[in-house]
Amino acid sequence: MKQVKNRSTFIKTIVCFLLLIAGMIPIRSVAAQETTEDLLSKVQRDSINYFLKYSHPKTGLIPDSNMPHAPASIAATGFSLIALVVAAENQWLTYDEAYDKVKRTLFTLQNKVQHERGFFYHFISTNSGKRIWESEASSIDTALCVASALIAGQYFKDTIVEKLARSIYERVEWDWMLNNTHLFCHGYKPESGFLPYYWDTYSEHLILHVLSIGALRHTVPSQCWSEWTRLEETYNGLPVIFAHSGSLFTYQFSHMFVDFRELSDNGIDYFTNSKNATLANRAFCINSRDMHPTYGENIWGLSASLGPRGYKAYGARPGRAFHDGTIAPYAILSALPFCEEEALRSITYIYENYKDNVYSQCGFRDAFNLEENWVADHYIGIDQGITVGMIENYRSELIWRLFMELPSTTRWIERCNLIPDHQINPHTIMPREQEPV
Amino acid sequence: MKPNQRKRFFINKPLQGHYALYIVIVLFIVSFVSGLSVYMSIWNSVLRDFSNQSIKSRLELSTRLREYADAREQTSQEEMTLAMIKEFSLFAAREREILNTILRDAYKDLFPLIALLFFVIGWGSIFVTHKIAGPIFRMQDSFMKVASGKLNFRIQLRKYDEARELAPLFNTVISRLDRTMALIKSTGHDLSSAFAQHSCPQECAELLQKITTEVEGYETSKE
Repeated sequence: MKQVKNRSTFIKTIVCFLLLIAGMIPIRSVAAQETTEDLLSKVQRDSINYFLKYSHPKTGLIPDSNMPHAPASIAATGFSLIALVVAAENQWLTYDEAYDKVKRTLFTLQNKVQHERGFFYHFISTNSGKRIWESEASSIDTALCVASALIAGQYFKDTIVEKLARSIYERVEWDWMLNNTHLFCHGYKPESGFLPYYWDTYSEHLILHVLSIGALRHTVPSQCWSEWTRLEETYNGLPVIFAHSGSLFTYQFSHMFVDFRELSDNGIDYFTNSKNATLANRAFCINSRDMHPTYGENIWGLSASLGPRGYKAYGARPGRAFHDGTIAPYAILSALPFCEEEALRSITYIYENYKDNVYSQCGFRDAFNLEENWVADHYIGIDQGITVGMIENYRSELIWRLFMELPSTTRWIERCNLIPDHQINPHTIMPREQEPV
Repeated sequence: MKPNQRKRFFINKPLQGHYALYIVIVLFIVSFVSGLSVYMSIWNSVLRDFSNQSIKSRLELSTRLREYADAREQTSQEEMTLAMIKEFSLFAAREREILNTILRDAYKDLFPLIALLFFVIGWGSIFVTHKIAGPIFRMQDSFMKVASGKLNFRIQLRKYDEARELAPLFNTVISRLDRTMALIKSTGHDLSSAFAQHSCPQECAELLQKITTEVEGYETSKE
């Protein structure tokens, strides 16, 4: 009798314990969600801090990095406009504060920054806007800056900001940068003319086509869109239209602006392509653990960044796959819209385990290399910017929404016939990822 | 010796001394301000921008910018040597830019300063020349008054006017002339009255003697 009573008590205790565990699961899950949301908010806000802290007080131009005497980078300056829009949207800055800062920067871009037929010079003086370091009038950096200006114009609609942004956009002579070809040249130097490099394969230059084909003045023919080569390779069962470097940023920069999810380029879905490239990058890291044991399921993300031996175009396969164990956290954060689960797991892991070394007042440092016990001592402006924009796209799709509403974007979609077709195509179907070897 | 050749350069030591001092002070101020500005705007910047720390930081930057280009252009290993040369040329170009910027900024700062100096010197010149132009004008005006027959005025120069010792001298001359002319005028009137009343020749002779005695003190060209 006593035994039965004891058993009954034991069963009751077990049931209570199980109920307690069952009750805790959703609580823990909600807590985890909150933690992730808090972390992303914190990273985004701290990354915006770079633009607030290092912008020139009079011109609003942003240094390329926080290295002493660093010149202003035109792309980083553009990205600062996105950071300000995001700050206003999240009420980290008041609408008026953000508006004033955006207006000041656009005024500088319109009136002070040296340009060649509307193409801004890559590096300029932070206080005068004049070209320095004999830099080139850069096609891609101008495109990134102009696209960001249009985002700001769209956010502060029907204001002087919109007018300034439109004026900067309409000033660019896009067709001149083709240099009588159907490919965009990397840039132009007054001393030596056009650079001997062209955007001829997949890379971050898609945004350049979006703006130039969608432009009303100095429009380039839609043939330019189909002119560059789409090289395809499969890695770990993932087909990717790949960039030579295999750097993650090439699959991210244009995607901060353009929402490719509903677009199809003769069957190619560039959103899925970026997703595949991200998963391939991760798989490549996992598969390369014999060379670099610090890589792992949560330690991946090979992208152009600072490294122990300087700035390098780190990347994975498909592509050249130059790597030395250096990981760029910005590339993981910017992969959030494509691979939410993998990116979140990785970034949380890195933050929880290495935050003392890799996290500082402007967010994650540009890169780190656990093998060599090395952490970048500088931030890079464009890497901070893509982090802010892509987290915002992941959270609210704000940048995508603003950019896709632009008439120029609509014209590009129509002129390049990117209306989605739903024909069966290997790129539109997400292939099953193979287990890393 | 030519008739107009000066025998002595210091004919008026206080006046010439003052002017020499003014010129020396102005030149000193101009030289000091210009020298200080050139030092502050050019040499100070040169020393700052070409310190070991600055050069090191620019070398790092030129390396970084070269690496950016390599990353974008996918430079191969074989091209790395060329890249190093490019890096140095980039660094050298930056050094030239910095020197140009320093000089451009210096000119930008110096031009308004030079304009200000011109203004100060111009204003100072007017102020200083007024001290001598004022007395000359007053004397010129006075001589014209005398020429037109006015003797009932005296001049007074300001405390810091140059050649202010001329005023009492001029006033002495004009007082004497004034007194003589007044005497001649009144004696003439008296003579006219005496002749009209047919007064005795004794009285007329006395009046004429009075005039003769008064003008006796003047030396004239005819004598």
